[in-house]
Amino acid sequence: MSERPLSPDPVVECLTCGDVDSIILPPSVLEEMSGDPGQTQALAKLKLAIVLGGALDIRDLKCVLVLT
Amino acid sequence: MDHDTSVCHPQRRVEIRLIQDRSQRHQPHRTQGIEVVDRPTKDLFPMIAYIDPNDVRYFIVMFGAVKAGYKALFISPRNPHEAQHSLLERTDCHMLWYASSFKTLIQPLLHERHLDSVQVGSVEEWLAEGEVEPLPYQKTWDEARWDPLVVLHTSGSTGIPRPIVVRQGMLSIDDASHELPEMHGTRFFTKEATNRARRLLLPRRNGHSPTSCSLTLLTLSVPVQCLFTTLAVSTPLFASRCAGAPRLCWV
Repeated sequence: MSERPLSPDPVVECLTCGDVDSIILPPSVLEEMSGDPGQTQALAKLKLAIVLGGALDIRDLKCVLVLT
Repeated sequence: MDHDTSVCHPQRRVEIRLIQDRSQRHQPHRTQGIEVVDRPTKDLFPMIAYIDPNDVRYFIVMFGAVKAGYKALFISPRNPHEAQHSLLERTDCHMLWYASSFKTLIQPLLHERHLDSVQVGSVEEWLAEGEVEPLPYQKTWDEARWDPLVVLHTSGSTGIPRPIVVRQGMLSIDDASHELPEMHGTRFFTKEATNRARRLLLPRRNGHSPTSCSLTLLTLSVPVQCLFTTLAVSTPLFASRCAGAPRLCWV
């Protein structure tokens, strides 16, 4: 994955194959993933998503998940 | 203590059982069986410039260099040619390690400067199974707090990038952030991650070398448990929360 630019597809691959319960993402990737039901579903399994690298404008999100 | 963390590939998953051991592979005089340099004079910390496609090897190089008495300089592949020259000059750097995918990129530097260069092994080779002879780190916190951890550089947006030496003691600031009180009903993100996450996925962007932000994240994770137990940066705060720290997963 390090050879590829960061985008939703490899993130979802890693969420699927890796035993993880939380993630750190830049806002652009999170915004893009919020518009795809499959990708949103992959995020919904997590306990925590942290946004780093820039401000997240919640108006750019297509949907909002509350992770508990 | 369980030191497992994982690197996730599309086709498979590689478990790194002890990143501390893996960094042993990276002592300069042992890399790939090539005799590059001997252990340097104490507290000289010769510079090793390192460039790779932004994967877990950055951190292995960082720990390995510290343990072997060197310091790693992470030069961004995005830097213009003159910026690489300037960074190597200003840091008095005479060694360059690179991943195979950067062989073409660094050729001009090798022609124009006198550099000992080594093409490092792949992630798979470095993380392969097998015993590695331990190389204990002997310094105490007081001895090593001002020692270099790694050398990063400014982005270059205001001119030629300038080197920044990150000291081992700087990580104790991030460590202390776990003790910050709540503000406006929210907790600092490192503390929240420690409380809630068991395994934290950190997909990293292409072309960036580790930033101080990734160093902050290290204080959440197992690699830093190894760092803190094998390097000297062990603070009472850190020790008290080692047990519940999440595992950090690099991809």
